[in-house]
Amino acid sequence: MKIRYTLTIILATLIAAIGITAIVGTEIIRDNNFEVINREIPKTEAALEMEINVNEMITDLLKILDQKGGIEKFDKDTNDFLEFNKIYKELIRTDEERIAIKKLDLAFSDYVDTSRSLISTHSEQVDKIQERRDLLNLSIEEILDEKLQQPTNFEMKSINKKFQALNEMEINIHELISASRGYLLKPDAFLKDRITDSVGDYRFFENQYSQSSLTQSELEYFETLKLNFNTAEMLTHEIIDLEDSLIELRFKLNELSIEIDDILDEEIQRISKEKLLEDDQLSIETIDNLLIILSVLFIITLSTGFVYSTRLGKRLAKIVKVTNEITGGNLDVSISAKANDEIGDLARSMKTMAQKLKQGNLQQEEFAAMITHELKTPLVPIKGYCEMLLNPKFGELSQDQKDAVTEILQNASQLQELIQNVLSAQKLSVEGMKYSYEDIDVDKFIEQIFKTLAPYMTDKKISFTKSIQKGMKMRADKSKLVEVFTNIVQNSVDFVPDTDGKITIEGKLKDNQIQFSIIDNGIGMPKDKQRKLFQKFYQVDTSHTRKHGGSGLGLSICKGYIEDMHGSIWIESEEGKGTTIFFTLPMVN
Amino acid sequence: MRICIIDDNISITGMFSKLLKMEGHDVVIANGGRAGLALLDNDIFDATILDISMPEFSGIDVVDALNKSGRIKEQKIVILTASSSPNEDLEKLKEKGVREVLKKPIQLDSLVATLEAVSKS
Repeated sequence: MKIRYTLTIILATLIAAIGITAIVGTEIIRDNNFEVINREIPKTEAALEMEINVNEMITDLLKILDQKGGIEKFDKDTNDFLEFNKIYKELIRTDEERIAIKKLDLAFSDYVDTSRSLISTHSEQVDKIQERRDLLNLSIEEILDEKLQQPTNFEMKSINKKFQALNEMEINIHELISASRGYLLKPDAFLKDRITDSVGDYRFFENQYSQSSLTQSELEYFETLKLNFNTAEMLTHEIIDLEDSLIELRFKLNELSIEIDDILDEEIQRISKEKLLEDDQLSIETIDNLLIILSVLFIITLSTGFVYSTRLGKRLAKIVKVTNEITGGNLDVSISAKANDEIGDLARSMKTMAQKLKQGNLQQEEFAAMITHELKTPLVPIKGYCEMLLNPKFGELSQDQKDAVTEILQNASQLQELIQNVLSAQKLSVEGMKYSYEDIDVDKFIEQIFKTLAPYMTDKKISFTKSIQKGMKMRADKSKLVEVFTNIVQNSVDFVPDTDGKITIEGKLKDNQIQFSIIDNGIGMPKDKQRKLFQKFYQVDTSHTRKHGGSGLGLSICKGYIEDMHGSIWIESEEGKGTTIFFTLPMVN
Repeated sequence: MRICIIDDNISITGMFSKLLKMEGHDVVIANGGRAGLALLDNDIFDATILDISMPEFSGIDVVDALNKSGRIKEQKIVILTASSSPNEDLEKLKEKGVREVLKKPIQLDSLVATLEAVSKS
């Protein structure tokens, strides 16, 4: 699959993975919270509602006690409490909650029962109080209705002890009435004392009066008065008692409310704490899970990306290797071109290119071969007949004719050389691209070269020696190296003197390279010619005839080969003293 | 000597023929590989000049045929070639029984000398 698609997919997957995890993660967290909230809110609300209703019930109760409210509200609030209690029970999950709600239920039913009994007691007592109040009012009316048969004369009243007592009794009755009435309105310790005092005082003066002499009608009246007063006093006491017990009720109820309030508060607090902890737990768990998933996804995508790019790198490296091979002249490299992506395209292009190059080379070779034959063939009869014409057996020629034929022959020879030069150059340019490297044992190689080149030395009887450091190995193309040695040595052969000519091949290890030197005691060359030595077609001395088809290409080609093989070549020479050609090649361990 | 010349180039065969006759030798010419083989099958020559590059039936084909028929030893073949092939290829020819390989263009006196040397061997 195309690389750009694969990479896009990997990247997209990574981003999608992160995105999805993030989205899903937040959803999960939210859902968890939501679920919690969904369950917890109603539960909390139910608990809160229960508390609210209990408080309402307390208020209702107080209102009932104050006779400002009715039991209907209390009943309604009780029912509301029970409703929310039911809801709450449906939403609880833990055993602790179940235990707590049981406690609450017990406390509540206690509270309701106590409240109701208190309420009924209260209403009974209130009724009683009402009754007594009514009776008291009656008696008071009766007392007040009675004419006290008193002398109107104030003075008379104060002198007579009897009438004094009666007066006092009257005063205290009024006291009692007002204090009782006051107490009915608002129970008060002070009023209670006043009632007690007025009763006490009345009794005192009643006693005094009873000890004075009374007429028949006075006695009758006195009896009625005593009766009524006793009733009033009794009623007042009863009312006071009732009121006192009501106060006690209120107190009890207050304590009860506080108790139930405390229980509820505790419950609500516990619920809230639990809810928080649970929420925290859930969130932490969720986040942990998310992190694990995210890490795994991340590692997977990263590994995939890494493996993929490593593979890509390796494939590209292979292609580079192939390219280098092709550059080195090996057009037969095998290229795996099966992949369907951009690198596969590249490989296929390389294959086609190598094939084209090979074709091109082949075409060049074929061309060269054809040219060789075609160009050389006519020269055979041309030169042949010229030679025959110069042979007296073929017929005598005049001197002019002989000269003419000689000219033809020379020109034909030049033509031949030219063709040879061009062909050599052509061949070399094709051959020159192909290098097949080997690890070469220097000693052995030079020995072989020595044998091959020895025949060249025979004509001039040149002293040919060698001095090679042992145990060296070099990396080079063997056949090209042979050409280099041959070229250089042939040059030296040409330039050494006819007698006492000396040529030496030296090889040693220098600066981590193999350094060869071909030393001759020839005529040497001047500095300006040294510089041009390695140029193409440069011939030091064109008048020199050589056995080997001298084309002037020799040394430039040597330079090309040596440098292609990662070495360098140079000359040291002095006119009249001799020449040394140096060149280096890479060493192999 | 009786020399056989096998070459498709009439100019060359003409020239060689004149040269050798001038030197006092007998010459038989064939202008193609098959014609040349026919000559070699029916006759023995002191030496044969064989050109490599001939259409249809090349010098190499002639050499192979002679190897097959076993006549390569008695026919002393001198190959004439225009190619500047590496020496190994020419060595192979010698392994096939060819006596000498000469490269075109050739100096006539060395040609004659070679033929004489080969015919005596």
